[in-house]
Order: sequence, then C-alpha cells, then structure tokens
Amino acid sequence: MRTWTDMASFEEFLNGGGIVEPGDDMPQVYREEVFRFIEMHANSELFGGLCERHWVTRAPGLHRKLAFLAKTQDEIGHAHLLYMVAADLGVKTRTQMIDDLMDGHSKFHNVFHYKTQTWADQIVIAFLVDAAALTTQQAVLKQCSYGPYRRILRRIVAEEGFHMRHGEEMLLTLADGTDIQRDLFQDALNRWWEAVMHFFGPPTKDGDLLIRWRIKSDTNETLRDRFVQKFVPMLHDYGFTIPDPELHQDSDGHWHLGDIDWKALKATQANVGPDSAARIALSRAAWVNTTWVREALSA
Amino acid sequence: MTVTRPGYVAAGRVDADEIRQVVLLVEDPELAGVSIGDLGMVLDVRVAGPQVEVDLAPTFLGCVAVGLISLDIEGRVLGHSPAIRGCTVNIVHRTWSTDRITANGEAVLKDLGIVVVRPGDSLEQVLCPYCRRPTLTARGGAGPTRCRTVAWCDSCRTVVEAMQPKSSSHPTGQKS
Repeated sequence: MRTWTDMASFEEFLNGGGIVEPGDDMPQVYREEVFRFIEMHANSELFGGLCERHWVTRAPGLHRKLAFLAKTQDEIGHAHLLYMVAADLGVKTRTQMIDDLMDGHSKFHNVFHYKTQTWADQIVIAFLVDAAALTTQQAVLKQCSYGPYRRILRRIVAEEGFHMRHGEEMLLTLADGTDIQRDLFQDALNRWWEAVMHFFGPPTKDGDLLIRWRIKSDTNETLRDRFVQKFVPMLHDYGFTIPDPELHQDSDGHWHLGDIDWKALKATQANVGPDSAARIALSRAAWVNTTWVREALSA
Repeated sequence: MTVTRPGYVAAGRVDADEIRQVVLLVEDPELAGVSIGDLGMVLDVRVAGPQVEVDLAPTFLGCVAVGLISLDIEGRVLGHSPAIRGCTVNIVHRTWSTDRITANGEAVLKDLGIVVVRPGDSLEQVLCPYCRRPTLTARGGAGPTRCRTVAWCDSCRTVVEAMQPKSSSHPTGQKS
C-alpha cells in the first residue's frame, strides 16, 4: 500500500506516470472522481445493453438477431466488470449503484435518453455511437491513472472495435440498398447527429479534475474533433448528408462544426430527456422481473 | 461459406504450408493481438489445386464472430496469391476446448487479463495474470461473451476473465 502525505505529492506521483492501485491510500477526492467516472460508464453499458435487447427480436434475419443477442451480452458483461471495479472503490455498493440508477438519481450517456424509432436509428447507435464510445475509451485507455479500470478497458476497447465493424457492415447494407433504405438512414442521421455530437460532452472546463488526475487524457472538444475528422468524410463517401448547415472544411482540409446547442444535452443530464422516464422505467421492470433469478442463484 | 475469385486465370502452384500459416495468423476480431491459430480454432487447412478449404472450430455454439473470422480468412487467403481460385470455410461445431489453445495463445491472453482453464483444472488452481497468486474466485458464469466467465482476484483486486474448458466429447462434424 502506498500513501501520500498531501495532495501535492499525490499529484507529483500522477504527473510522473504513476498508476493508482486499489490498495493504495489514495486521496478521497480522487477516489470519488474515478468512481463517478466508472459508475457512469457501467450505467451506460447497462442501458446500452437494454436498448440493444429491444432490437433482438426486431432485427431483420436470424444472423442479425444473433449478432444483437451477442452484443447485448457483451454490453451487460461490460457493465458487470465495471460495476465490480466501481464497487471495490468503496464509495457505493453495487446495490446502491443499481438502486440510484433505477431511481433516476444517476447519470448515463445522453444517447440512451432517446427512443429508437426505426431500424436505421439502431444502426446509427451501433455504428456512430459505438465509434464515439470507442474514441473516448481509447483516449482513457491511453494513460488512465487507475490500474484496474485501465486493465479491463483493454478488453472492452477491443470488443467495442468489433461492434463497430458490425455496425459498419449494417450501415453499408443500407448505403448500398434501395432509395427507401438510404432515406431511412439519412432520416435517422438527421435526428441523431446532434445527440452523437453531444455524446462527447460540453467543452471541458479549465482545471477539469478528470484531466488533471489523468483519469481521461483528452478534452471533450479534442475527442469530438477526432471523431468528426474521421466520420464526416466517411459519411459523405457513402453519399449521406450531415445535418449541420454550418459544417465546412478549411483550406487545410480540416472539418469544422457549426455551433452546438447544448439544451438537449442538459435535459438528458438531468434525466429529463425525451425518453428518460420510459428508459428508466424499462430498466427497473427488467431488474424487478429478474429478481427471482438472482434469488435462485444466491440461494 | 465459399468465396471465388472473379475472372480467375490459372496462375502457378499453391503452397499448402504457406496457406496454413496465413490462416493461422488471422486475428480474432474480439481479442486484440490473439490469432485464431493460437486460440486453436483452425482444425484443418486443405489445398486441392487452386482451391483452399478451412475447417474452423468456434469457441462456442452460436458465436457470432465466426462470420467475420470466415470473411477475414477468405480475404487473407485470396489476397495471398493470385494462384488461389477460391476459399471455403467450414464451421465445425463442438470440437473446441481450451486444450486447443497454444502456449503462446495462453501467454497473449494472460497479457489481456484472460486466464485459460485447461480441461480437468479448476479456476482455483490458476494464477492471477496480474499478481501471479492463486486467489481467483468466480464472479458469475456469464462474461461479455459465452466463451469466458468472470473472476475476481482477492489479492490484487482486479477483474479477470477465464476461458473455460468445454465438453467436446461429441463432435458432430456438422458442417454449415
């Protein structure tokens, strides 16, 4: 177990590339910050799995149904791993985390506060949202200062990369399809683009503790920009239009977004997004309906 | 699944050993840096003239990654030499178990935080991949994928995953 006399020596340890382990006597504020970050990730994996589950029976064809079934298991499995790491930090128990989530007191990613209306909506999530998640997770993995989180992220990132390939394959099927299929995707892109941009979060404030303590390594704007440079040209190549009239390329070929309206993101952060209540109720129903399984397993 | 090169014209001899190496080195799409050869998923590679046939063992029944793995195998094989006309991948269920994982595969998996439980062994006998102590305890039969279970190391308090042996006593040889 390592101990630090004060915050300055702890920060010196972090700045020198130090990795914090569970047995270390880490400052309580660091413990809480890293906990909140992992709890939010775990919650989002759980809601991602529940959202995907809805499409298992609706996906076209057995192959896609199987793929969604496997993806659902992946997301719930990731949540399981992350809740274990989060609970070990001792800030909240696993039961408290689940209760808080089901009671609407916890945060989860903005994209899960909206209803998926069509199959193409789900493809936007499977491709663009998974790609956005991968962009942010790769940046955390790069130099995250909390050891156990960093170790499971290596596996999670590899699996998210696999999901993205699956999402891209589904997107290509629509992009290569009939006008109706292409319109379906364009319509979904029009409705989801803002939420995908919001996914990276509002501009990071100066002195942000997550960056300062190397829990994550890049600012929200950097990550959003990295995503935009990669996916705007790709979507253009597939013949789709980005619903941002101010989107433009400068003389160096760099893409610039128009101003982002943060109103919708703020609503999702307060759990009052368009579908927040329904999603939370759905997750609670799933939790309550499976109580007997947990009881049987622990009997 | 079979892929045939469009507009193929006969072009030289195909080296079976070379093709086998190409197939063995295809990476698992879900496990960074782990090849399907190291995972023991390649049962056989046959070369008959310009035709290549691969028998592939999924790590569990219904694994969705086999579709992508098959595509990757076909792409690599056809990309290897213009002398190859076509590639067929047969999925042979219920033939895989952890005894098929190579020593190198076990080492690479360990580096990712995944331990291998060999047939006849139990999780309790396996060392934690991080702190090398025999203090792993099972934490749920279902991990992110059905070929892995979840474990917890009581010493270094890290989440570990385990590839578990399968009962493979009834290979059906069923092809799809």
